[in-house]
Amino acid sequence: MKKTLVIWSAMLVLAGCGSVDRSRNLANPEVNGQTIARQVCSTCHGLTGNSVSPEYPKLAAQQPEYLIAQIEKFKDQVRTDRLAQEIMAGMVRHLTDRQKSELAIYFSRQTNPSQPVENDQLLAQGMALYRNGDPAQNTLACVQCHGANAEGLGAIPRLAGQHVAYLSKELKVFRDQHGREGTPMTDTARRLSDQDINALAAYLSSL
Amino acid sequence: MSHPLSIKKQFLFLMWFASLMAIHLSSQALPAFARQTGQNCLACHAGGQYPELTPYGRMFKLTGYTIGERANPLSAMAVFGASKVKSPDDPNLALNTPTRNNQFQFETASLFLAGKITDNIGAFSQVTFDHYSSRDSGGYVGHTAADGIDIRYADQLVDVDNHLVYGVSLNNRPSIVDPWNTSWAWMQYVPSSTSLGSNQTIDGGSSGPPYPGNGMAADNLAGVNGYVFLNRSIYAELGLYRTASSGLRWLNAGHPQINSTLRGVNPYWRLAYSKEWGAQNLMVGLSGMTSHQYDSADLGLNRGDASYYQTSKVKGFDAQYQYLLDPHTVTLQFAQQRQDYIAGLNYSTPGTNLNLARAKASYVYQARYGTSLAYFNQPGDVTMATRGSTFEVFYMPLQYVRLGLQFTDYSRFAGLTTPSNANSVRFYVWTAY
Repeated sequence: MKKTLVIWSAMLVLAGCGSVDRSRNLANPEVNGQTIARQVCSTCHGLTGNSVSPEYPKLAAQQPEYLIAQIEKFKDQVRTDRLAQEIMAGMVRHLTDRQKSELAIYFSRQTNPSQPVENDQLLAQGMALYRNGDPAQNTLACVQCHGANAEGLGAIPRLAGQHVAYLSKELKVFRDQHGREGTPMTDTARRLSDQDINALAAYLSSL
Repeated sequence: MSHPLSIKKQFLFLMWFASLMAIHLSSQALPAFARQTGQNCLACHAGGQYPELTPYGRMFKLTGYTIGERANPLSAMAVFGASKVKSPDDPNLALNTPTRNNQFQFETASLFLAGKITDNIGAFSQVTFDHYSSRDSGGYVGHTAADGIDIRYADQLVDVDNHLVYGVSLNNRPSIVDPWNTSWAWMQYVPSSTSLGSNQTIDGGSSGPPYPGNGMAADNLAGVNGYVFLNRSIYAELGLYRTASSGLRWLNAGHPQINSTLRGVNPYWRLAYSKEWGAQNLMVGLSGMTSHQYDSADLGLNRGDASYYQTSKVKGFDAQYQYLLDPHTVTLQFAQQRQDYIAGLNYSTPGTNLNLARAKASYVYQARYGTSLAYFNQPGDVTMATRGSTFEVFYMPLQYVRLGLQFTDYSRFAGLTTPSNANSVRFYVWTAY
């Protein structure tokens, strides 16, 4: 009985040791957005926003306005890709505007190193598509919105250094699924072949 | 205790359960952890196939089930199924014959109390009703008892150079704290009634679980485990188990109270190395436990007398590989456990040394359609040698409903001169919400 009391006492003491500095609570407005980024988001997206798995996008050096806009879209469930609906929508449901801003700034200040891609032919094709579009298909040049180095601007996302598999998946979501409103990407991606998507993803990942 | 329900009542129960789930569909209610995180099952469970965890699911568990917000902690689970054994009349198969061969029936149900308690404390606790737990003169008797319980405190220290997760768990079962599903408490297909028997070897049922507390006589355990997970790479865990004293008896509520099941403090240990790259991850690990088990016939009356207890030494090796990139989920698992007994002079029935290997490969598409192939081998003399494989296909129409069809083929089966007599087909409906 004495040992039992010791165990329960220890649990009660530990229960009082919680700190908002290391909280994983997604519904406590007192928790700083940077803490949420480090304690929760980093589990999939990496501490510096450089996720290991291409299942999850890299957030490092991403445009903060874009990150905040996406959080809003997750919350409103207007992003149609599966993981946005099944994983992200619930996680962001109770974040405050301050927390969204803080975690967006945290990830935007991280560094996103480029990834080497060895297929020169694919890179060249991707670079041409990115810079010039495909006049024959009336495809817009990506560079017009995403910037000379695919760094993005405001609510337009950075694409440089992103995972190949993630870029491919998202382009196919734009191309093959409907439901995302207020973006020219649906119309742009509609004209891309699988080969175009592979080339673009390889090129952007290498930046 | 209660007697099994009639077919009509079982049907009505199934309908009630289905209608309850339909109501929950429209209101988006989910199991306790899903309510807490706002995520669907596939965030934590590989391809949506519970209980196997994704890297994120493992971190959710290791950080003490504390990600998210406090929510309704109640969840329920039920398994309905039918097993058909090829030759149930084989007299040597008696103990392994399904209670009702080739009949669809309600088998088990669990109630969970689980989730975040504070920013650092969370719990997973399960109480299970086995519809066919035992038999008396009036037929089969149902029984409700504590199942897996894991209450933990955890914290996470993160900086640019180091990432450390550490925690302490109060639990009732060696290996339940483990986040990988090749650990003994978690490598399973589907929960099954202890009396069903068609796939018990691969499910880690009654065919030789190596640790006390996993279905053997020593069910009355309490353990305190400390663990660290460094840089998402090195996992180390040390647990100390002993017979649950009166204040912790609730950890094993419903199980027979065997006086002084274990002698003193019994160590369990676990070391694992994990690596994640791209969409893949790999774990290789070692585990073991040394436990001193009193002779149940002696009821611990001769405490301290080494001749009245046996010492069980378990050593295990396990490995798991996962490829997770939507819509594909691939998992390879392997676990080998060796258990040796050293019995005291006056120990009445010493345990049999075991060496069981299990392997499983599975593929799930779109977290909806899945298949798996498993192999198990327990060498030994004719009374214990068991070897075979299980092939399964399953379908998850909703994230908390799984329909599965299994075929188990035996090339050896303990005590049978014709092992194929134990071959079985099993259909199940596994639901949780």
